Amino acid sequence: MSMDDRELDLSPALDVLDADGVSLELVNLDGEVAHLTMHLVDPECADCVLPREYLEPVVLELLRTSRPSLRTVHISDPREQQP
Amino acid sequence: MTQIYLPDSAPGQPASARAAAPRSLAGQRIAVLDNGKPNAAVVMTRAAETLAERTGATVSLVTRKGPHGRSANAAEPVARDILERLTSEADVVMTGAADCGSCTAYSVKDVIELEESGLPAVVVTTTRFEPVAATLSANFGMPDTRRLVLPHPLGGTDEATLHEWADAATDRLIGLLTTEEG
Repeated sequence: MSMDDRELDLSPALDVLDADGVSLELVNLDGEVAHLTMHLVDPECADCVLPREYLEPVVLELLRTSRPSLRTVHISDPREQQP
Repeated sequence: MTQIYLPDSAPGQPASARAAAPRSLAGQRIAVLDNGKPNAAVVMTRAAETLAERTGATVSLVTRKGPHGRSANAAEPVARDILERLTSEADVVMTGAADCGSCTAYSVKDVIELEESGLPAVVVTTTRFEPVAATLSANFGMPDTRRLVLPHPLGGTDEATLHEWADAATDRLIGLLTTEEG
């Protein structure tokens, strides 16, 4: 577990996103701004996953249950990198 | 002490109000709007039938949300022709299942559109996705959407169990869809 992982508990979001075959990884925590990368664990479920513009506020709310001061979440979405 | 606010968050949608709920469901027409998720129609149709039997309402329409009700994509909004049928053939609506990310987003959008059209509408979600439904409801401008929360998952659960969950939801549905006490 990295220092960032200890600083930001992702489990409240992972518990929900796991049902859609999604995992999140913390890239870095810049003050109260979290940069995350999304991994599609089950690619066949890609349509189930929220579009990024909806996903970011949902993940922010979920992560605020363990870190109320968190202000912003940015998610790198592999679906947006596909041709 | 001076408080400083950072004006750097995205602007939210202006809040809109829910439709007025009837005093009771006696004589009311209940519609089921199915997004095609596994077991969504099973649990919602049973819930609507039990609710109708208990209250003196009728189940007037069970339809998928795609054009002409022939198909459903849970990651798209309700088709225009189905929305028109709902507004003319129903007094209250139950829709879902909001048990994945995208289907929760579009089910929430659908209930907000129905409420704004004057139809009280319940989104059927699950324990796992209720926080998602709550956050999206607030972000889409109606924080107090009517949400029926069932156990997770619906898909893969046997029919007898789904019927138990549906039957057990009757009191909650009455509370969500009417101004009736208890």
